[in-house]
Amino acid sequence: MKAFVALLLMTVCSVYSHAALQALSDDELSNQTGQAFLQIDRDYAGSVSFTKFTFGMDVDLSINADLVELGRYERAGEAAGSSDIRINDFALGSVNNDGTLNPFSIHDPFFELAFETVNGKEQLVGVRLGFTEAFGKLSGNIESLTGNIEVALYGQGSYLATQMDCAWYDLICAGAKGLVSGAWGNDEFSAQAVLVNPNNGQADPIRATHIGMTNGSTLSIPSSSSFTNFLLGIFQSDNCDLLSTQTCFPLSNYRTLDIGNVDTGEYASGMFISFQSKSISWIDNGQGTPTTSGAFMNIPNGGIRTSFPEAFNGTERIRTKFLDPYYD
Amino acid sequence: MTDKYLILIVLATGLVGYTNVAQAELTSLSDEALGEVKGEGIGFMLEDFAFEAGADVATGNRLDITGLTNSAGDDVVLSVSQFYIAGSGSNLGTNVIGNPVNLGRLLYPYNLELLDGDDIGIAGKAVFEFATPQRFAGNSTEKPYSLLDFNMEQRTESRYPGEQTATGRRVDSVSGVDLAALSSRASERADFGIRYDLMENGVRAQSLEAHAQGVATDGSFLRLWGDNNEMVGNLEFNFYAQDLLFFACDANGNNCGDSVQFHNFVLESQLGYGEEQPVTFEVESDGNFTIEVGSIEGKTNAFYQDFYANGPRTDIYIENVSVGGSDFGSATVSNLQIQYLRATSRDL
Repeated sequence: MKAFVALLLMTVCSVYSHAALQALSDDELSNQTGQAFLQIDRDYAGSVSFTKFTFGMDVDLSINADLVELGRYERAGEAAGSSDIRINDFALGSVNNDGTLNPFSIHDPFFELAFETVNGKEQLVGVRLGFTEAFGKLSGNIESLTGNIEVALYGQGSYLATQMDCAWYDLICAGAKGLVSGAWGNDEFSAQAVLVNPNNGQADPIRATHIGMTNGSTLSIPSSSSFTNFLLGIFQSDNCDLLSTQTCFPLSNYRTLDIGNVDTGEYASGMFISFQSKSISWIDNGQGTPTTSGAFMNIPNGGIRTSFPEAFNGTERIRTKFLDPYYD
Repeated sequence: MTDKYLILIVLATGLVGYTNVAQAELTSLSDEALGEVKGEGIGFMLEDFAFEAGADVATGNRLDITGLTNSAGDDVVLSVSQFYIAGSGSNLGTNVIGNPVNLGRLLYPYNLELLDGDDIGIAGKAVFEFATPQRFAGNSTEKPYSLLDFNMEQRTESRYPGEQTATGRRVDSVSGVDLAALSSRASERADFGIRYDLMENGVRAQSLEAHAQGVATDGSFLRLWGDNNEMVGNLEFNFYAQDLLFFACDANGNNCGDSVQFHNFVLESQLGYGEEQPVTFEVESDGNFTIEVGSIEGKTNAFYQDFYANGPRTDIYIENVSVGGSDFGSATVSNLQIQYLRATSRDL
């Protein structure tokens, strides 16, 4: 396939090429196995089968767009005129302070179809575009998002304590605040945040406008003892509140997100956008990602890490253009 | 027309399966048509064109692409068949022969020509151009003419809550598709189709079909020139399809199910910006290739102002996405600008 694509492009471009043709030696010829940059996989999960086309490509890019909007149709229970996914001033990659580009990196993009046999017919029930691995800055003003975006919140107890606003009569809250600011002040807390409904704290993966801790989720200190985490487990987020600390935040606060781990350089895997006619689970590395019908965007667990200060205050949009109206 | 030459080629070709039946017909030019002729390069068209190949799949009439594997290393064969080009209304390739299409016409042909680079911002260069039939203005007020009508909005956003804001006009939505911008008439919009069969570990597993209906590529061009012993170029690719359909069938090509359908699909993509942002393509000795849209690092402020206001952009719009009979409305990517892109292939 690679040879076919190369031949096609060379044919198109050869009209004006001055490159000299050189014969391949027998050794060189014997090394041309025909194994391509294209890989085709079939997989199964329950009644759904998948055919996945993966392209062996390394892509670096820096792009800006006014609008990325998918799934603009009227949907029961959602605001009129809204969309499954709508991001304004979308950008991948950034511009450094010295005027150089910091591209967004993609490894092995793929295209996949999902099928289900119904009454003897092969029904196409989903299609997705994705990146096997991705790393870099994703910027935008997220107006609505349908998907599965889990954010790892992290930060020291000393900062978390500053966000706890205990009523004077709430002795439990006051005690917890003392622990968080004192004994656990230098410990790193973590929590998982997902798309939520800010009005009730329940998970809301459809046309969400907020991200946060769902009802019943807790803080933890990964490096601490199980007893400490047991104590922390007593305190659960409820209705976007945990010990008088706000736990749900507008998505529009986050103007630039790091895809991948900026500390370790580890790429995020399984980032994709899909359309499906029903709830199906797309499979990556043996793990299924449940989706809802319509347009859907997935950034896998750990794909985004946000500090508590960023969660509470938002993340600043990074420079994405050389003449950037957000900066100049 | 003093020192230039004019060649008009009218090809009337009917291709039936793998046989060629030529029905050449010279057509006289009207005064109006002659008045439009500029006398540069070669203009050509394909009249009454239909092509069908690999229709008889059952007897092995297909192209097998071997050497592919899945991630477990098992052999996968991708077979290509039932490729066709016909006039619109081909009913997913069932009505190809006898339903030809005119690709281009005398007033609006495909063109091959050498351009004076000074006229198009590529100073001191001779530029080779291959161009499809031109576009009309339609609802556009300036070039490049677009099929898309936009609703714009004046928006103020901050880069950080409570901090510096940016105000400007951005695309809010697409309000419609303006087919009046196409010079290709309905009879000049083609239907394309192809069938892929997958064989895994020697077992025929699945058949996939892709069809494009009512296709026009008006206003597209490829420009190539030499720079520092390297071939560089710019590309503008405009693609309109009334419908794109993808569906699956069983291994024998029967029992086909519902499709993924993109209705009123519009892609308008400009890659590269003259000499300032060339597009290059390289093939390595191992067969891997690299496509690069040059970085715009280190340019002047005047260039950046021009680039962001008038530079190359890509717009993608689908009026309705339908999956398995469920409609999911429109999809839009608007005013996408590439500051840098480098894509390199490698073996998996």
